[in-house]
Amino acid sequence: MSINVSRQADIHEDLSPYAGSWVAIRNGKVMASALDPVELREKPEVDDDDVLLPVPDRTDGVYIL
Amino acid sequence: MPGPLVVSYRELGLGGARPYLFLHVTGLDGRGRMIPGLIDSGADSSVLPVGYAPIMGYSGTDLAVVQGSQVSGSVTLRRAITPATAYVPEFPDLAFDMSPFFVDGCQHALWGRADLMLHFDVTIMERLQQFLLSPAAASAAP
Repeated sequence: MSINVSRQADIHEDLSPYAGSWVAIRNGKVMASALDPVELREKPEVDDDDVLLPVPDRTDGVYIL
Repeated sequence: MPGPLVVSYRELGLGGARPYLFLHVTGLDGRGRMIPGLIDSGADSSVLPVGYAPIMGYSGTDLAVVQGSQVSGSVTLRRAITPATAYVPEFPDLAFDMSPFFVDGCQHALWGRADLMLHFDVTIMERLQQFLLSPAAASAAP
């Protein structure tokens, strides 16, 4: 059985300036941001295929979930 | 049955490489989206930040309010009554149901045991900063 290596998309931009907001990502880059995800989805520069992602209030430090 | 998939830890612009996985998730509105989340064996079921509910087509009447527990104490969860459908992009034929819990204050999607891990065996390889996803149907149940 062969083992495959994932080629999933990456995000190349530092998202810390968007802490607390939602961002739309396309080809690894931020296309738009908004505080509300529905408002973000409705922006004309956001495509249906964009990844919509909340950016945590803090992006540094230790994660314990 | 496809073979296992190796996924490298990534930063996703959030600082610190972690076991993130993009899933393609389609909610009530039928508009599928890619959502990055952390592999989380501590989550009984998958969890999404509450902001994903409206953009997946879920409103208040589509969600059941339940109580849950997290590391810092009890938390109110809103569970999708009608499940979403999800698949790993590399395995588009292996779609599975997901009834995510939407949580206020949650800032990361968490892929838990009752959906993703019911359909994929997950092996964390921390020293290599990778994890392995093996379609569960390819391996014998104990």
